[in-house]
Amino acid sequence: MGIRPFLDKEWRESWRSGRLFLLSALFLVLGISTPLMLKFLPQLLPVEWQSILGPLLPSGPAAAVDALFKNLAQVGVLVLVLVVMGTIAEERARGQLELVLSKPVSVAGIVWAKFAVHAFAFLLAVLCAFLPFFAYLQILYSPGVALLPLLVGAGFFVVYGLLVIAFTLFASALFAGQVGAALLSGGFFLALSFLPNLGGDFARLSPAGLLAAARGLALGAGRPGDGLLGIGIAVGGVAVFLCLAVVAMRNHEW
Amino acid sequence: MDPAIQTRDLCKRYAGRIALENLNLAVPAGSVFGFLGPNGAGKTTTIKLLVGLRRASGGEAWIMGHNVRREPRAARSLLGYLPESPAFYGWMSAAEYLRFAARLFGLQGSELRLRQDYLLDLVGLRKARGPIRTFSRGMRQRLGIAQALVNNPRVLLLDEPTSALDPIGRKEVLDTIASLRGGLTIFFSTHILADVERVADAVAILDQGRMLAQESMAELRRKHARRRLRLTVGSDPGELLARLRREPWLENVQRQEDDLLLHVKEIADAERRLPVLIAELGLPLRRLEAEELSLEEIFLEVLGRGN
Repeated sequence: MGIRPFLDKEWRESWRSGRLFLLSALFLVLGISTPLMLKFLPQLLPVEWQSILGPLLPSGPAAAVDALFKNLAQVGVLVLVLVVMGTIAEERARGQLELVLSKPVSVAGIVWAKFAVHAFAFLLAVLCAFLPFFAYLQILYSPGVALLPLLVGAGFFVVYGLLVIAFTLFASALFAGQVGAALLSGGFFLALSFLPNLGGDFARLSPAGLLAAARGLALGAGRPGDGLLGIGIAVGGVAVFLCLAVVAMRNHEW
Repeated sequence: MDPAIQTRDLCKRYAGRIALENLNLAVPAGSVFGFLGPNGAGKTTTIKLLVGLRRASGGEAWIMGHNVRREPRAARSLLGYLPESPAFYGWMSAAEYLRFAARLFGLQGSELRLRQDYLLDLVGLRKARGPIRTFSRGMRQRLGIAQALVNNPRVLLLDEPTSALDPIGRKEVLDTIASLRGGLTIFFSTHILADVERVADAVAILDQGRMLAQESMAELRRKHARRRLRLTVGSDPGELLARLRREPWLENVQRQEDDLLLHVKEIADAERRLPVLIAELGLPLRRLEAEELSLEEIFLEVLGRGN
């Protein structure tokens, strides 16, 4: 059997458990609060501090774009890992997958369906962050930022998120419990974040380097070719980790 | 006729521990086959090897002629499996889960709906509307049987289907198994001997990963019945008891009120010597008959833990 029954099951499960909207809700909050905080934080400070700290606080659309990417790449991705980490491990621990795998099904179908639904939820969440963010920038600053470059930057961030999803699924397939999956995914996430600090080609080619390219593109400062190699590497990583997840599930004894 | 389930030298080792050793099993098609053994005997391991959920350390297994290792999908498409504690997606309803399971076998449209309705009726869950997480254990077990039957399997593998159920749940599950008799091969593991006695046509007895016996119920009873004799004499059997204990064909003898219960090694020797002994002692013979052992006694005897 192919992927369709699994896609249908994953979709309904995401919908009914509210998992589909959890990330969207968080990203929406980040998308709205980031420009508002940057704009109004100086006014929220006590009057005597405003003259001292006010000039030091970042402001303007560029600072808002920068802050949004940082927030999404840290808090957003961490929550993404938490949402995805139990996807396979939990079903395995509960015995649900054992019953499914006793039927003539494709393990790849199970993994790809989970990936597809998580990817969709993540895409939805990114839109929930960027569209209101764009609207607030237009309201709060004049001029704000152009929509298309911002969406291209968001697209780069989506690719980064897909890599995190694929790796977390692999970790979830590897470990019998959520904790192991969470630790491995967390380690991977930290390693990804650290790689660009090594400078040189690491900054340019590592998947996390995509975030820098995405920020540049969103602000209209980058070139479309920036980060393309990083995207290629990230997409390749997605395919590799999903295949590894399939192998891990096939090798598991139920 | 080819066996529905066959294994040849099937082995499973876990980190140096032997869970299953050279299992050679042949389950006749259409039978209800009880797979008996104490806890830890290797019953669940065997079933999981047959389903393909675990890899054998050696040997081969076939379901309806399909090699489980080389043709796992073909084998799985012909079987239904119920684990000891079936775990479902708790947010689904019984009907939703059956539809999901049916789609995994490629069922669609009206065929799917008919199968779903038939199975919900069969296991008495037609009116169970809530999510599965609200179901009792018995309801889950019945849903487990329904999902195992969703593909109209030729072979049904049930792992301890009644062990966690209360008497009512147990009766319901056994009734369901009994109602399926004849249409397919049912292979069920258990340590509850009364369940086997009630529904099985044939049994295999497993202990510490080794198969100790494999026979039809009738044959098992016949073999073991011939090994126990009940003897009643008209007067005090004290002297007879002493003489009997010196006989080489006797395994042991127990006194039960006026009767003597003889477990014998060689029935032919017993039948020849007993009347002679009784006549020599001048005792009146009231009764001498071969007695049927209960399945529990046979089980313990096969396991070497009987009298």
